[in-house]
Amino acid sequence: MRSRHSIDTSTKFTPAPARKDTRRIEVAAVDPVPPAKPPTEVVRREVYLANPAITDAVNLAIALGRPLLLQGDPGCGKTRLAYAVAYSLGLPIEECYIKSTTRAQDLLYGYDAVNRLYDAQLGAQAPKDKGGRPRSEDPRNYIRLGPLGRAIVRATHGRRSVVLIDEIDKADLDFPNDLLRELDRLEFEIPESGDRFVVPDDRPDLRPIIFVTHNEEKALPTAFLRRCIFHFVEFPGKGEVDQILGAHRIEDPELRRIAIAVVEELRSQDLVKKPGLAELLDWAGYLQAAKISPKTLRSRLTADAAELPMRDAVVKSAADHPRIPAVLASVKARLQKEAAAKP
Amino acid sequence: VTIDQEPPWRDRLWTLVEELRQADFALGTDDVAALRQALAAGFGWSSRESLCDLLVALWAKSRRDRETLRSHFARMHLPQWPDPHRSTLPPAGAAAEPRRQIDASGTATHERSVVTQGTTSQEQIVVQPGPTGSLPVVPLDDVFSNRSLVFVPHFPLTHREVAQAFRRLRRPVRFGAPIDLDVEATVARRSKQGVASAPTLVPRRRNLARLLLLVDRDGSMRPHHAFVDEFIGAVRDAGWLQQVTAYYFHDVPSEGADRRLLASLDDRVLPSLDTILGAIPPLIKGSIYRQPDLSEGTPVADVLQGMDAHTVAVVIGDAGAARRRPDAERLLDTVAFLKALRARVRAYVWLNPVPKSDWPGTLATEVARHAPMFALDRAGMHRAINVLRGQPPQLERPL
Repeated sequence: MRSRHSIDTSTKFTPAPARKDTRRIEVAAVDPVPPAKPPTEVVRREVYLANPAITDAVNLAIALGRPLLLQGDPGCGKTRLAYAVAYSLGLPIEECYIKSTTRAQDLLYGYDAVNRLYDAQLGAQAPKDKGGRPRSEDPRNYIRLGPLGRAIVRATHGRRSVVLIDEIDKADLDFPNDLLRELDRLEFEIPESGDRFVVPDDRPDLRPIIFVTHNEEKALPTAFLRRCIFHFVEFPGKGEVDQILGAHRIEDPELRRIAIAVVEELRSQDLVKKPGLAELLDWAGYLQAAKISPKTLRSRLTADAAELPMRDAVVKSAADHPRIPAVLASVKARLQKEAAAKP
Repeated sequence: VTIDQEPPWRDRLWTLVEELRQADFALGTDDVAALRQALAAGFGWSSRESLCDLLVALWAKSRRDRETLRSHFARMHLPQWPDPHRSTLPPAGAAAEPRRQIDASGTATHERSVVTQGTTSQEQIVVQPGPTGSLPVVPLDDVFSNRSLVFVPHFPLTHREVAQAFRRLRRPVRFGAPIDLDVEATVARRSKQGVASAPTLVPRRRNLARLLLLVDRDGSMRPHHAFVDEFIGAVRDAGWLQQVTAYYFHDVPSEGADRRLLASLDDRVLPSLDTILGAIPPLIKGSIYRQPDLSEGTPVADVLQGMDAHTVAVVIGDAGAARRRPDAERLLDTVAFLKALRARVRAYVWLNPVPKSDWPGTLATEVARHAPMFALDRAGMHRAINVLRGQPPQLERPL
């Protein structure tokens, strides 16, 4: 709990969309983490419109040094937020994609005992290190840092990282609890080599900014939840969706309007799989790329034999297909009503 | 933090903390300290909503928590925001203080605008005179959007208690591709053979616990529906089990045991099957249902066939505890079914939503003599889990 007593107000995430389209950021996932002059790479800007509630939650998590736990429907942009924050702050992002067999230790480091054993068994032919000694003598040769481990080691070199722990509920029950101490104290030990890495206590500005996404498939242990800042990412409101589509270069306002109307009507139905923001962006992007004009789109949606173009990009469950005619009928009524109200 | 120096604030927030603790929020001193830190850092001052958002960010951990917290927050009487008496200044004591603190420490510029103009309480209900000028009409939407009117359910067991208990039902089994090094086996093989040999690998452990829920529905179970649904929901999303399957039945999962067995019983008023217990054959006739409304029937036999050595079963039902009328036939069917169930799963228990004090004089007492039956409360649930984990149950007359 030590690192939590200090508040970090040095870093503030501001959702400024007018930033350059690319910038040079330190390469993540480099092991060992270079103490100085790390390699950099050109990173493309993550298009993301953070509303004030999300911005506040991010800044609160940074200030208090706690992981930000993001919940919300699939495709509402939980993962993208981590990339947007990393880009905006110019920090490398260390990604942990969780599988059902992932253990907490995998996030910190992995120790390749099998290879060390093989090397040790080779005797005289065993690979040597630079000093001419067998590699197997030094356990450090067989240790690979994990994403959270690299972020902590990077902090010891005076550089900050963003850490994304994606879909934590896929892991086993023990996983979040096994991470408590490491997330609390931002330190870890490697018993095999005796090394210990700690984010300096008096440097809250070096604490990794940790995002945890969670699909609500399974509840997380209370002890873990208590240490997180919670934010539920809502499906954005109408004006916001339009802005988001605009930010993703869906240029035609009329196309955006119709696409939003269709997805809103779909979402108002009790579908097995409601289209989220990701589906809307895919669909609108595809309509634009396929050069389907708003006029064509409108006539295809409202014709007597109405159809939903590129249906499978928005309606992803076959069980929902029978509902499409009803949705199209209400889309038609809505578009006609809007057209009537216009002049 | 000035919030501590303004008694109405402090008291109201304290009331909120107490209410939330009663609503099963695990709030401790750490969490209150986190709130103070966040307020000191300038979060949550700009409006009522932003304070509520801050509390949600710090203390809520799910959408359900968020709704509970918001409804409690809406009931909290906070001073009007911004304070009309001090509206010319940034709400003096309250907000200016943390700003000064931060400026003085020189670590940050405080960007949050403290005075927001025209912020009105969202909880206002607009009351319009009715068309005839008699009674005011309150628009329904406003009533439902008013969070102070949202009820939060209270059940004998909270979501978290169920979750914690069922987490103990794990069954880690090594399963899948061998990727972990088994150090002991490797060393043992090496020392036995005396030459370099390939290391021994084992699969990683996974949780293979499977749970079959058999739920009594309708009739005397009707008053317990909401609670049982909540219970099943909690088991499903918090149990971390490999698989949870629920089936529903009415009164008994399987009917039609041979009634002739009952002929030898001399006392039909207080049925006891002790004398014929050994002679009752296992029974898996009839259907149970996938849906709570008792539709989508599946033969019991098929369901039990699909179970394996990792499966444990929980029967949820009142076992006739609601009626005083003795019913030897129902008891016979129940016992016969439990015999069949017992043979197919690793362990089973019966959870009864009727309090144990109400069992005497009903069929539930009889069933509890033969089968591990526990009341669906905290203590009962934990004892049930012990049985499911392999502890032998204490039974008067085991099957």
